[in-house]
Amino acid sequence: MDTLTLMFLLIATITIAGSLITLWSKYVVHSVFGLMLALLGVAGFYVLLGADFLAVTQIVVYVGGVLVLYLFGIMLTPPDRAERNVKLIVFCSLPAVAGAMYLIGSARAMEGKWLPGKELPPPPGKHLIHQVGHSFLDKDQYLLAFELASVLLLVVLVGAVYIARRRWEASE
Amino acid sequence: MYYDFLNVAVLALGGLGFVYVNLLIFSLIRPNKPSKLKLSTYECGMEAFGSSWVRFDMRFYSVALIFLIFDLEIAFLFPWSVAFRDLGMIARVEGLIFILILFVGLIYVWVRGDLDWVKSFSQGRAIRLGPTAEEEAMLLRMQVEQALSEASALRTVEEGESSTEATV
Amino acid sequence: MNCLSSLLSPLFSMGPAMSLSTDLPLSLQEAASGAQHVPTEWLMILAALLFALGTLGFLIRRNLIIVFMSIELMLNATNLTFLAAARDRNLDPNGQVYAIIVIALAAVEVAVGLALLISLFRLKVGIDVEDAQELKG
Repeated sequence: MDTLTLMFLLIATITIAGSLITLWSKYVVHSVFGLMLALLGVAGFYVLLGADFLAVTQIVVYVGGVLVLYLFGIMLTPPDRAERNVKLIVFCSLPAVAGAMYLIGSARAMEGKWLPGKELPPPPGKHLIHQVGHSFLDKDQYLLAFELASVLLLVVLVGAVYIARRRWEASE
Repeated sequence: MYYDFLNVAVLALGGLGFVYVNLLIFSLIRPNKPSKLKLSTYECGMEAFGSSWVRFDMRFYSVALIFLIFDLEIAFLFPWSVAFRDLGMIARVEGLIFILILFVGLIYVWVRGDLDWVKSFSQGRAIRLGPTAEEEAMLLRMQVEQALSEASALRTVEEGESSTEATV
Repeated sequence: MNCLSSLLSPLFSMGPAMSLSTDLPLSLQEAASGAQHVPTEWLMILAALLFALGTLGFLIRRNLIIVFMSIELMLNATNLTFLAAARDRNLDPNGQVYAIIVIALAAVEVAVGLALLISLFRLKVGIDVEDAQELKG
């Protein structure tokens, strides 16, 4: 067993264990830390896949931002009743079906004909994030998504701050 | 191959090891004589009561939210900042539009006073801090309900113990 | 012994100084595009497993915060699939573009969702799924 396989197994164990903690733990705060484990594992997979910028972004955005938001959300809402609705046995079989469909769909999409150019040239001696930036700024590719992302962030900033604040001023 | 991130892994292992190896060593060395009084929750010498869950101020959430949004802005601007030199003026204008749109949001939260930690006077009128009276009442009700349920649980446990004693 | 020193040598050697030009370190990328790497099928299967776990959490838990976390897990599974497929296609940059957009959407969804959840709690008492059935505030 070579080093890469060992790293894959280690990171896969961390990810799956973290997501199981997220699902099953009795306390919501433990779920948040389980989610942190799972997200760090996914960041490790990004490293294995050669996407170092995305690994760092994953850690900065999720662990630095989203999980803190979750913790504040937990403190601002009542404690969990730790109920798990497992009575319906059909629910337990649905995720397996969903996972199988996901696997089949992604495998079909990878060999699909509708994706352009299976034989892309290997990347030149520049960092891949260069090409990502070029795709973001090219008007024939993702420029619209790039600018719409800023509009989306603006709307969310204004809207979520408004929702979170509204009741104070109403009850003034 | 993955040397750049091997540094990160070695540092992380070093940090974890520094904490847990020390904890392990001291758990082997220190004396261990727990008593009921030592294990009880310490709260300024008073007996702890009620739930440990208290209402937080909403401003924590607002500030974390604003932080998250500008964090995401960095995630989009980093590829732009790497690539814009090759693409001339048009790429700079595109990045500028992105930043200006988010700047509108920054101005909004700034003017409405969400960035001020002490919101004594915003827009010339006092804004109430903390939970309202209704929310205080709701909180109190939930705490009483929880205490009642805990008391009933305790009672059932005691009854069970007494019944087992009776059978013995 | 030789193996250990080769593992530890990057810790003690300084890389080239970061110049003003946008040269970023390439070692990771070259490693990922090299001949020896983790098979793509394993990553696909792991992503499907993560997706299934997210679906399970979505179905069995009634606390809305944990439902949001399950959605995060599912979105991360999609990101993993995008990047595995991109690596399979000679490090296609489109995979990273999609992944950045998905990360942004997931974070934004959590921000709005939790704000709605908190204001829901302010109107009613609970944050269970069944507490959000009425449309009237």
